[in-house]
Amino acid sequence: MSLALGGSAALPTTHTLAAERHTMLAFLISGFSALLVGAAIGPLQALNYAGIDAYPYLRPVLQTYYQGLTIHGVLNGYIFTFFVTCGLLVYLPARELGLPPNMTLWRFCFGVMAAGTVLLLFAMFDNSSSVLWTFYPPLQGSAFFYLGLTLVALGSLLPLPVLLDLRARWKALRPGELTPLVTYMSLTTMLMWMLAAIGVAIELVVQLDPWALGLTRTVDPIIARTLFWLTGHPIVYFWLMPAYVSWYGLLPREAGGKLVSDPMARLTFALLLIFSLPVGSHHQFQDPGFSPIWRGILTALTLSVALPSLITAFTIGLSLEYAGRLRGGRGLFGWFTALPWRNPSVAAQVLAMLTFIFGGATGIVSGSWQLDNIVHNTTWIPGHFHLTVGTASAMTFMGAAFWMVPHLTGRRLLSRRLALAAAWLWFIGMSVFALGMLWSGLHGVPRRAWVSFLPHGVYQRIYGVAHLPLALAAIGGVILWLATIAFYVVFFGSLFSLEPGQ
Amino acid sequence: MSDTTGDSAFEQAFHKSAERHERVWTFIAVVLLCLLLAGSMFFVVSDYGVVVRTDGFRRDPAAAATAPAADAGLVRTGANAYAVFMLAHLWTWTPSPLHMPQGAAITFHVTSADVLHGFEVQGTTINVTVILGVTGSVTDTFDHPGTYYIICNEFCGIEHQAMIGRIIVDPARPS
Repeated sequence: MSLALGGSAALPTTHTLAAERHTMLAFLISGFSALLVGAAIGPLQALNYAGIDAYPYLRPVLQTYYQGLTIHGVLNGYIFTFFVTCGLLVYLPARELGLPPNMTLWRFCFGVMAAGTVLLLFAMFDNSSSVLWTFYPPLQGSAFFYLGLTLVALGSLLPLPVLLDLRARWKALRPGELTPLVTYMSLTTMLMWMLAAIGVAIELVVQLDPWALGLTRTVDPIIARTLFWLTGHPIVYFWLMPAYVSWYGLLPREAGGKLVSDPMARLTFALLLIFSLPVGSHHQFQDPGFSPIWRGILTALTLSVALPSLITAFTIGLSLEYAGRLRGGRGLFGWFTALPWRNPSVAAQVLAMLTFIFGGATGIVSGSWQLDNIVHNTTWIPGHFHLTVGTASAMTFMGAAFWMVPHLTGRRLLSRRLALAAAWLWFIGMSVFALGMLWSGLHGVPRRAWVSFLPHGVYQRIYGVAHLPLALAAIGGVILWLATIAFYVVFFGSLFSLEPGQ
Repeated sequence: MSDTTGDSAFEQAFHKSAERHERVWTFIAVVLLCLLLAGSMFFVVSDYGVVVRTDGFRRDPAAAATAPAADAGLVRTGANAYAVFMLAHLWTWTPSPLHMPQGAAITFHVTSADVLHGFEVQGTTINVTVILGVTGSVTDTFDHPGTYYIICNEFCGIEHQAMIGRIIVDPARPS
């Protein structure tokens, strides 16, 4: 990876480079360890929908489906993504600008989030806080759960001052020059996240923490929901924009070409900064008291946020075409097959993009309030977001890990073939799972329900109509288990292998 | 397209067609979203019949306590219109099972006695978040006789999956 595009002045020393690599590795390993636990539990939930209840065999580790689902959502949605993102969005700009970041602040970010994670793990594994990752009051978990979340949320904001400081120092060295692309994109992402996180920060600090500690007796559930979704929708862009950083900033070169349009990349991120913020209440379309006018406005805003993603589809597609044609691809689709498919990092990210086409399309359905009436809180919703955060983001991070682990440790990737297998299995498993979930959602199967615990006759009578799609969800889950095993053998195998790299 | 400045014929041809396609694609994306938006707004202002009405709203911290007796069932409100007060509590719907005539306009007033619940009637577009201290209203007509299931679709605790009610739509008497 040729990331050191920076200038000659104030080059980081070997010592500081090693420190940056170590800290980045700590973020990467923490994030992917969270995903290991979360992804291991995930297929149990898929099996649940097919009527297979594995939870009685998992005591005392997991007591209930809802405990497992809480751990799955919190670890995958918050801990995995936050750690990888807060690492990458400092490490990549620092290497691009050729300047050392403020290591104290960056490590403090790691420490605060790690402390929060420990509190969360304690609260979830002792079965006191099965409130799911949305933790809507007045359902209450233990105080450790809310305090842990508060620390994780506040910690995840700390890369912003690190980036602002990096950019200011670079600007002082190169007055009047345009901020390099990866730094620009990372900074835009963090600015968006700072504005977005205000909602959940207020919800936690003002409402839920005092309530969970017993200092206040009541909480207004509608205000809590509204504050949650003020953050809860932009958070999906905090999951997605780091993947875009990789797609725009790194992938075109990995594929053997270049990014064809730098201004379009900047425009995309500026649009995401503006449009991702005011759309969160589309998660509340079904709340009582939501006027049709506001529903219409939120639908319009939600469709607007699709625009930067459609531009991305073009720019990245074209950059890949450029790379494919340079590699000798001919004809209408020859460039696509000519891409370096044997490179697991490229394969994982291109498959992630393909999945994101369907993730985005199903999101447009849920974001249109008339259609949302049918799919709201059904299995359609997890079907949709496993295509976006569960594949587009997660698989891009996996693709990044395939080059980062060798880059950071100096060791060779354990097995290129196994890494490729992990990418393809994840792609196939998630596609099958999502198809099943989306389809059964149209039959009114609710999300987050321990349906396998129902008496068999009741399950058959109510959800029998969705037999085939529910079985598909379970089959997808089992394939995802295989993908998880393949990925972690490569990930930890490469970390602990003694073989030095090239 | 600022940094495609190579010298080869391939570079130039690629750059030229890419620039044209980029404009067309962005234009198509904007037009597509505008059409979706116009269609969406059209339904908002002119035709509210696509989905059930769910804009009724009454904020009352004591809603659960002041709701009419749970066993009241259907209350006649018009020639072929009825209202029913539906109370969600851990982990049942009251009243259930609920008998109603085919083809009548039924307005559900739903509220919760404890945590959040979700009022979903399988096979219809009825889908309302049930919130403590708030009464949400939704009106729909059941045109086909049979049994419909009320499924709680907002996580509400350990027995959430079993919070299922029944609506029995009785066939209209032949006139």
